[in-house]
Amino acid sequence: MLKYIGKRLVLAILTLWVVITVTFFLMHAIPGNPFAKEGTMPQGVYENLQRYYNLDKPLHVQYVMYLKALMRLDFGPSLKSSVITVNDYIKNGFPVSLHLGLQALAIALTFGLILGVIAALNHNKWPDYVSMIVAIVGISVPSFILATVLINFVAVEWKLLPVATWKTWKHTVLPSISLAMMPTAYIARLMRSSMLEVLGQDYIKTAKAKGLSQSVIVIKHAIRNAILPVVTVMGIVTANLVTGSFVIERIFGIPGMGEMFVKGIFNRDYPVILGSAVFYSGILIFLIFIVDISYSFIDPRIKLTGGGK
Amino acid sequence: MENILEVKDLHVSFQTYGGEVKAVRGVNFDLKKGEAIGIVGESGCGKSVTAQSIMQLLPTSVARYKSGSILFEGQNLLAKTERQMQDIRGNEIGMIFQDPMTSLNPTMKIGDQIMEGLMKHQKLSRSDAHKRAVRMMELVAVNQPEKRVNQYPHEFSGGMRQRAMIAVALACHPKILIADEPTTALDVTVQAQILELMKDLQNKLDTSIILITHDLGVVAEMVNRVIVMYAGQVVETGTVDDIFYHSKHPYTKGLLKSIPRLDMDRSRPLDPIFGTPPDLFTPPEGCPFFARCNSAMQICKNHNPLLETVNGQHQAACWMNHPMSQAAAAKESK
Repeated sequence: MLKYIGKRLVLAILTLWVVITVTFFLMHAIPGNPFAKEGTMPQGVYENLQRYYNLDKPLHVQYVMYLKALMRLDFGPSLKSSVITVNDYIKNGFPVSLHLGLQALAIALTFGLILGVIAALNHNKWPDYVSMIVAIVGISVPSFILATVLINFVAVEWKLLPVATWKTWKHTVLPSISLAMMPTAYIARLMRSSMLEVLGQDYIKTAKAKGLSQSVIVIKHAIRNAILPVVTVMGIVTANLVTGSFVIERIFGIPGMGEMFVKGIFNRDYPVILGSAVFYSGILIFLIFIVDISYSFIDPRIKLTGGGK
Repeated sequence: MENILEVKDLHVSFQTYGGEVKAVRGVNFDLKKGEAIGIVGESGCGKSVTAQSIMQLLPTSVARYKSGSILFEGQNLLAKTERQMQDIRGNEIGMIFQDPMTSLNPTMKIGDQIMEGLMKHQKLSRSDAHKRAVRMMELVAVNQPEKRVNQYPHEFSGGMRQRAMIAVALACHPKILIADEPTTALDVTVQAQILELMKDLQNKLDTSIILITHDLGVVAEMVNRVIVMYAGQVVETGTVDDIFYHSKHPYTKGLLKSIPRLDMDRSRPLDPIFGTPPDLFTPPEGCPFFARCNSAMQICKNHNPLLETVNGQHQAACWMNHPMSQAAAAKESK
């Protein structure tokens, strides 16, 4: 197990390095520069700024400098602000995005699994159709439409919850629901097909032949075997949710991480783009690692071995 | 001896998109206490459906019990509710299936799978159930049962899994064990061991056995009486001796003739039954074997023969056994 973790750690660092390198050079390949929007700028000021941020040095020198800084976990300054660094952005934005993401994840998992299981147990009957209609709507309706509809009815018309901003628990409800819709639908569909497959297996018949009740069969025998494909996608789904959604954060005025990345690209704010990409990949790699470890607890047939044996 | 199970005029159909498949069409048989019977027939003859009807394991969405009754100790199982059936399944009647590779839950320890039924039916505590599980594993001759109960199915070989499956089915000492092709998925040497084990347990636990198979060799070794099914009906029934040496139905004879023999001339081709069984969407009005039968007569086309006693327990459904055709045959041979 330790050997396995060590091996994965080396792989993770390698993966991160590839991500950094590709992002770094792709980013510099985009035309334009960080100060293009500042209007007419005296040549001297422009050159000073370039020199201040080391943008005048050759690309490979900048690359090495960035890697060195990253070793100290320093993501560098934001080119758009003289006081805020990328580390500050992450420090301020990530907890908010994480909070929102985890709430959305809880909603998505709970309702996704319940819908999927109900649909599978009532295959080709009305609960199945209802669940799958919900799932299709969830996948096809964009989150910004759902968010505006929710705001219009729940917040404006019925005045049940606040419209926007990020203050109390009540403020978190609507954005969490809007963000959860898509993964809920996704998990529901996945769980349904996986459950249907498991329910047709011989060991379910064996369990029934033992005289177990339907609920025990479903909970003890079916769900545990059906949940593996869902666990597989959980790493990616979770990483997407906790690193913030630009759309949802924009609509609800939430100071999360999602905006940082998109604005960074528009502004050619190189350290912000790199910082977001590295941070996102780091989280994704970590979560996929967690998923791989959890396989071995859910399915005893999967054994984690080091050294590729 | 008293009958522990009586199946009377059982009709089972499946509702499909193509219409109603009449899979079982009037099956009658009984099972005595401590007895082993075999149900044989080719694929699709209704033998598994009959077995699963007893346990009511058929999918309720498509299977319909049209008529008939299944009496277990005098009580009609077809009239029982799902809840009442749960107390019978595993507790009074146990069942093992064809493929031991897929019939155990891969994410659950073998011991837990044996214990489940014990904890539900006999209200044993976890530790008592665990002890019983170890004893069951000992009983089905698994080495190191203490260690083995804590392993998962993928750590067992095919034969070992079928032993574990038998332990699961017999954990509560059911009065009847239904074995649906228990050895089909195993290789021959393991088959013999599993059959030996089942015979041994039948004596030890005084269980009645219904063995479902298409392997006549397995039947000859295991059972007291044989039921031959064809196209959802019983065509012949009798003792192993009756069926193997004095069979009175052309289908049974055909089955026996199609088995390759060790002492047979190897250049001689096998002697199969030609044709295919009838379509059970619209079963034929006459004898279902009519189209494939070498001795078919005029009457067979439109009139389905009833199961008639040949002698003692031996019954066959064939017009050839009718007194009139017997007399005609006697006249002809003179």
